[in-house]
Amino acid sequence: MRAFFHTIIARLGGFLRSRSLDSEFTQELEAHLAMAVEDKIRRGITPEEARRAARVELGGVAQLRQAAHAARGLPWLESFGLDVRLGLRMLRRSWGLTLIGGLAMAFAIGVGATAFTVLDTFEGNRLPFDEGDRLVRLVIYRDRGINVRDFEWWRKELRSVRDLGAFWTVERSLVTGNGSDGRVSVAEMTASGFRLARVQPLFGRTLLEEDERGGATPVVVIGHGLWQSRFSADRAVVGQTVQLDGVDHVVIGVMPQDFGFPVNHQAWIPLRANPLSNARRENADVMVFGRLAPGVTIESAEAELAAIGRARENLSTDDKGLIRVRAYADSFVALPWWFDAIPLLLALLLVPPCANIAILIYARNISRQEEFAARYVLGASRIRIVGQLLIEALVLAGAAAGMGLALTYQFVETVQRFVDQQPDLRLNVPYWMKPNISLETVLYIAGLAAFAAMVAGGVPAIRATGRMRQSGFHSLGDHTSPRLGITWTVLVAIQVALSIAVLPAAAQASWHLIRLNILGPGYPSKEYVTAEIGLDAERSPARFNQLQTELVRQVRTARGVSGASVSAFLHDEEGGGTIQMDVDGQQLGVRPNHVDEAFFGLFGASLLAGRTFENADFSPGRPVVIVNRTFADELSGGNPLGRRMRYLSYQGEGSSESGPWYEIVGVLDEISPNATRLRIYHPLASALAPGEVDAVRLTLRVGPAIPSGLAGQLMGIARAVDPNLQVKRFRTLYDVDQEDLRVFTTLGLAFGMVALVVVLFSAAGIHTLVAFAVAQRHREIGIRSALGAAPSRLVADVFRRHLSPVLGGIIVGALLAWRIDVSFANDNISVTVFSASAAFMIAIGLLAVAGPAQRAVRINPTEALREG
Amino acid sequence: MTDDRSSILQGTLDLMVLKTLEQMGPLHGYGIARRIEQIGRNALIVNQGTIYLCLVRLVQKKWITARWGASDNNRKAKYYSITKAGRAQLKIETENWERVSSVIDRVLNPVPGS
Repeated sequence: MRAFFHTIIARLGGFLRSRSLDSEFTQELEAHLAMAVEDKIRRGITPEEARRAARVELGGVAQLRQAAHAARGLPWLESFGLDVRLGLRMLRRSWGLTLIGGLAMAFAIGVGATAFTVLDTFEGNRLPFDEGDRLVRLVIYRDRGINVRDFEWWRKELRSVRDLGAFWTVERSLVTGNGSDGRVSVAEMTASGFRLARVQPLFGRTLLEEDERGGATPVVVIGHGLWQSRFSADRAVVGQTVQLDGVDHVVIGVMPQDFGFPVNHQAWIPLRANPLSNARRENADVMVFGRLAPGVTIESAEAELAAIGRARENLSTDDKGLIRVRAYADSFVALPWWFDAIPLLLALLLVPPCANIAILIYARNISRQEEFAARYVLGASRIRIVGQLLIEALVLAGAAAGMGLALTYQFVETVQRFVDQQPDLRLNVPYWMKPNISLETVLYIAGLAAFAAMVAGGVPAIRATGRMRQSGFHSLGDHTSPRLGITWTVLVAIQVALSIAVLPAAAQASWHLIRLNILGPGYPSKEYVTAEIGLDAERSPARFNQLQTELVRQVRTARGVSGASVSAFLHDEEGGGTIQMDVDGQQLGVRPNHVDEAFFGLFGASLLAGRTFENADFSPGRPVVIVNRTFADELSGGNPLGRRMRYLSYQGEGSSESGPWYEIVGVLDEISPNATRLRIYHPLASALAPGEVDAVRLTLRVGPAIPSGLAGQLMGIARAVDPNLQVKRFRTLYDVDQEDLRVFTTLGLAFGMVALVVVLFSAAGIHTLVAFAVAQRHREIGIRSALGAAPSRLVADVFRRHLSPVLGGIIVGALLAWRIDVSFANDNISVTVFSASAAFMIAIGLLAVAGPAQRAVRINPTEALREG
Repeated sequence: MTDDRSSILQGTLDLMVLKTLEQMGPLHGYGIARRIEQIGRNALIVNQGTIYLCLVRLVQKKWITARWGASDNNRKAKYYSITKAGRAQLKIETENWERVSSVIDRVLNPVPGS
């Protein structure tokens, strides 16, 4: 075994020093020959004979050198290096194929790797703690949430889960000694949370049980990010007093970097869990977590919980058995099992580009038949030649994988930046779920590259060399060119068909996604400022309504504000989603909103028919709605006024009942003419069922320039109305649009890019194959010409024969496109886009045939015959 | 005319080279080839070139070492010498060879009645 390792190491050394060792070996052989000659001359042999005999006895010097070279180094690695160099040279030579093929592969690999990274981030994550996998969360299904009474009850009774803790998230305005101001997400958490995490503070201390008691000095532990950004990483921060929503808190410690437990929090204050100490919050939801006691499983903990049940005050008839214990890390994101299959399915994205590259490579391989035959005759095995062709494809796939990796990296960076910039989003993404490019991602990418190389290079290599093995020597002198089989002709037809089928839909979808960004919404969205208003953990809708009305009343009088309105969602905000409604038997997907009486006036939307909301409509339970023009246009049967509509069951909530009926009382013109959607508006008050809305959107019209200090003014008014009233996410409607559109624009551009790559690819594939097929008939055309065929007839024949797969593909593609249009695009694809796609494909086909056809009629019959 | 010399058995060249170096001390490639031919009294066909491939193998396994030196005629030549590991290997291979050859001998010359 030792000798084996010595050999490996020696071979590695030999590989690295191959040149000097080769030269030493040559010297050694020369010395050998010289000594042998001298010896023989001494024995009386003539010098000439001595030299000859010495050479014979030693054997062939060149072969000997080669054998020693192979014995000393790593011959397979050297031949691999040679193949790679050859592959690179081929890529340089066929630069068009390299560029288009590489881009398509890179895109497909990038998409696959991105999906893999996302899944990798969201599943199988363990908390970065000691025994992080034993941390659990208590969850209640199909009932009111967990409140502090339940928590207190379990803390007293539950034995199978230790260090039971609870938290809720609050947003607080943080004012530090140096005057900086801003909102931070704070976990109001029991001290046991820190005990569970077993993470020591960077300095200072974490929360203790004493801090939770009523009357204790309010304290705060701050996170690393906050310490850096708001306290300039000053170690003297411990002991300083800061204000959280106007209340003094003493900073007692700073947590290390990458700690955001329980979710992604920036600071921690003690949870005063005693309900009596904070009556207003006794019904607010808390999240409860703990560590499984040694030897306890999730199932046994659930069994104990089922036996204990909820706090007496919270019991309802069917409570038992609904309390579940879930692994803490998994409790935030639950991906269905089939998500695991997504990376494998996405690998299939590689098939279309690779099949295209395979076609191009096959055509190129066919023209390299003589080269292969020569190598075969000189002793290269078929496996060796296939291996070399495979490595050529692997070089291309490797380059594409590098680009795919860069794309994935870019995506990961963008997502991370995006999440960091969105406070709301950040709180929904646990801090331990950070997308990064793991070793598994790199291995997945390598696997994709190998798969791509197999499809793009392996298959054509095997097909092209199969012929060579049969003909061997004959291929060398064989001038009857090989033909592309029926398979490849069919592939051209499929290629054209798929391009025709997908191209119009892709172009249309792409335009649909980016048009808003190009055209704008059609109303002056920069003149509207929005904010979200909410009441921290407030459960009384009446109180919220009252505060909100008062806030709006005062805001209307603010300097520079010409109008104000509140609504459940901002105009055109994506959050509202599209919901299916039944309008007198007709099903329509609509975008609902709840608005106050000032909303339509604020946007200057004119009434087309019926009436707007009256005061009486705002009392709860009034079943009236106003619809927009697009809705009215979509509705069959004429006048929408007086028609009745209701919500069909929401998907995923398991309810099969439909909602109550609403009557359409008015039709409104479009607010944003370029973003037409089916919209319905409810009067805002009717949305406020208890607990349903705890935040509404405020929209202000301010004119072309936003008055300076408006945000501060707004905050001041809100604080004066009620200190607990939160005003956040201050931005213009234009910014809101841009934020929503960013995703769509990216998607649209991605779609456009895919469509473009498909087109370029198909064009290159079709052109190469058709041109190649025509070129193969060079001799036949020559003979026909010699026999007296008219040039026009020859040209017509070439066009007829080689354009037919293209035309066939167009017909099949047209049928497919029509099917796609009817099934998925609601008959929206314009005839112009479709005709343009078909014309483009025909043009490609004509271009591909025209050149070779022209050459065909110029063939000199004598030369063509001589070639045979 | 027939050549009644024998080819070297596969795998035995290593053994012969190691034995030669053990007996003769440091030798260059030509010296090793000559010595094997002399001992074999020209009854063996030794392709001298294969001795060099054998030397490359043995050096890689660290059973022998090589260093440049000067020959009797003051010519630059590479000298090989056996190492401790080489001697141990030689012992193993010699025992192995003796065992195999005695078996072959018994097969070819069976003692009557045994």
